[in-house]
Amino acid sequence: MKTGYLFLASLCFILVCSALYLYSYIPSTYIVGDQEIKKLFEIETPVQKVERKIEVAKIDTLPTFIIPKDTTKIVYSSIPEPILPDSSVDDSTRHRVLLIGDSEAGGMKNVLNDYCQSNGHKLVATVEWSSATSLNFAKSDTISKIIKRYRPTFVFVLFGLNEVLAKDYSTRKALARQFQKKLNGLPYAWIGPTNWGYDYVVTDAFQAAADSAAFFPSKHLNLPKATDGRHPSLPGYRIWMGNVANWLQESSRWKIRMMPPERFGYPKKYKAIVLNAADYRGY
Amino acid sequence: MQQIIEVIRQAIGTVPFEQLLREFMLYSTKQPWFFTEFSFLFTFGLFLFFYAILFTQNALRKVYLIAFSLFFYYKSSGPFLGLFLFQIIVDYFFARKIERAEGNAKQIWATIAVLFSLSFLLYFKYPNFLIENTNWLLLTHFESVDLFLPIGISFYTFQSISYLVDVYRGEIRATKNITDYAFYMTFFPHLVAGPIVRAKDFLNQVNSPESPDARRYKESLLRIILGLLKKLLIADYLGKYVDMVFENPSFYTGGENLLGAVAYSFQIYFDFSGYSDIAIGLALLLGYRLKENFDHPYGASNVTEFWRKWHISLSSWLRDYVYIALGGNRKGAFNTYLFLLITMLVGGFWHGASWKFVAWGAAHGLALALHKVANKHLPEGKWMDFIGGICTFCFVTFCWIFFRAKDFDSALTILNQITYATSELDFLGFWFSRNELAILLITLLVWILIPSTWKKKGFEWSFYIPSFFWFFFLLAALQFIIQFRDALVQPFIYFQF
Repeated sequence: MKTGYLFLASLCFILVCSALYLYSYIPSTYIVGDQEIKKLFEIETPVQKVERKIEVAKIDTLPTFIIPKDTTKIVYSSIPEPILPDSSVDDSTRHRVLLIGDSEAGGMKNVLNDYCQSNGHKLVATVEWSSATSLNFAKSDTISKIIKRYRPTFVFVLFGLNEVLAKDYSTRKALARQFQKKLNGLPYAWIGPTNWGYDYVVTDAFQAAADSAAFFPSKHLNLPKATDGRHPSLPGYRIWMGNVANWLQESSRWKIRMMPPERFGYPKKYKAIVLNAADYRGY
Repeated sequence: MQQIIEVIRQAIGTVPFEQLLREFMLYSTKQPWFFTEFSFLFTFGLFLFFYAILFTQNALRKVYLIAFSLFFYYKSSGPFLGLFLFQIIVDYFFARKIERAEGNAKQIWATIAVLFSLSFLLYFKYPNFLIENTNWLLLTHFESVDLFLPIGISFYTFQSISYLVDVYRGEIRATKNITDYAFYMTFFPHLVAGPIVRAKDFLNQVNSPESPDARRYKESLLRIILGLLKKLLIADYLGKYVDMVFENPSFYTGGENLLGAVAYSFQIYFDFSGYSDIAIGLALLLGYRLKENFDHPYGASNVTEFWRKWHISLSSWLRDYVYIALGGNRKGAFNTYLFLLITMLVGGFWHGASWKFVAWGAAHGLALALHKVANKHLPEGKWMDFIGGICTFCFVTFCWIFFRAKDFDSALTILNQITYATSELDFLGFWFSRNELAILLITLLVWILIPSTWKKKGFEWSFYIPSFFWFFFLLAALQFIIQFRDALVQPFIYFQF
């Protein structure tokens, strides 16, 4: 048959690509030796709800967040000049990055994605747990499950905005420490929440719970706000990340390469997990 | 076995076919379609199946291939498809007119046709260059225009010109069948980034594709696999380091800048030759043979030889339609050197509307002229070839700095860093901090030194492997790419031209 080889080649392409596509839709990942057989792309799977409830100590109810009335006189921070990576930063290390946090993590995820892709890292997943506090992160096993599922080599932690008015230092510190243990020894960068000048104990409590030089306090930054008056605006997130990136390259406990991205708006290839503490407490 | 079937059944159940199909049919400026997309490879497999059915029916096969090529162009360039079709139709009638005209009328029609063809390229590629330089020269304040360059326009414009000029020169007959001309222009393997195919080499193949046999099947798969590996593994990996250094050259030591330039030499070669390999492989499967575009250029012992081996389809086009058209070597020694310089300036300007490309072209033009002058006085022999090879590689790498740098100033910064801020410690530091990259660069340098005949023999041996096993090669190669490639696949470098 004259065209037999054409059919054979056609089947080669169809079957090979189908196999690779189909493998991406299989929920489990296979491992050969120490190597995970990677997928063509990752599909989003909902996080399993945890049925088991854990009894926790009673803590103060958080007061309502107060928006400053006059913002006209505020002098905002700006994106800092990039600082060259410290000599101990190994440029060839490509991290699998996981971002965990509350709604501020949701705002930060795309900016972090730009930084990661531009620096050779891969943002594998983001957990945006709106309205969550350290209580959710510490008491649930959601984070442990996500870490097990995505096997990150570096974790960004960013929460605390929903508890900036809390005054119970020791409880917050204990919860933060409990959460920190869930990271299971993974290198991490813990970013403190923006506070708009109303931080009582949270930043200090988180800083005390984190390993030395693993916490980046954000309360000194004066970031442009979004129209909701609560979160930073997009330029605000970029300024914030610029500061975090410099700290990561220069003085953090686990330094990684984080030069400014060549551009913003890289394709979003990470798995975005969105939760809301109002209907999913996690414990 | 039942478990495997169950897993596959479940996986198929979760595939959002409707959404995938909708996304597939739409054109996206953010994700233009190119050969490295897995969706392309899958679609190509499906296309090939029906192509095999239609293979013996000439008219249907041609229409089917043209339709697929147009869809491919639509996925890459969206609305510019209309412009492309318009140019094809007008070119077809111009060629018929040129053939029928005689005397001065023939020349006038040919000039109009070439200018018409060139006008699209000039309109989309060069207005900002003109505006910027006018503003600089005359202190005017014209605002730059925001134009999207249709993908492949530089390539298909040169193809169109070669057809019109060849008809004018009487080297080929103007084709009577518009589908034949459309087939030549739209043939998707060479459509968006070359090789620049000449009508006289291709039009006679349009109606008589070679029927595929075992050898052709294996050769095409080998070319496609090699091309994908070259692009997605080697070029993209090197590209990360190159981007870093060329973005902020003053942040890096002289040694790192130097190695960045060397890495770019390899990146552009593996990127573009990888693309050409895929294009040639795809065309081969369809029954058509495109000319080779690269022939181990970094093994060239002088710059003249380099241009016989690098982007052959462009260099031979420039030779035939610019250098020879100007007078070639028939108008005295001085004019020969001048024509060489002009030809390479055109080549540089073709790559992009920027002075850095002009500088790149001028450097090559001067080197070609200089080599022509000195060639007769240089001793010959294997050692001279070896030394010449090293000098040529260094020179070409030096020129690539201008080609890749953001702008002219940035290129000068890199040269400044290399000249004044290089020490042997830079290389030691590079070895320890970027060990994998250093090993890759050394491997690639050794690869250059291996004679091309040995490499060709290696490829020949692979053809003894039974046809059935090539399925597993393709699967292994693609999984290998998924395993080690970058998260972000960069577009082919030559797409921007």
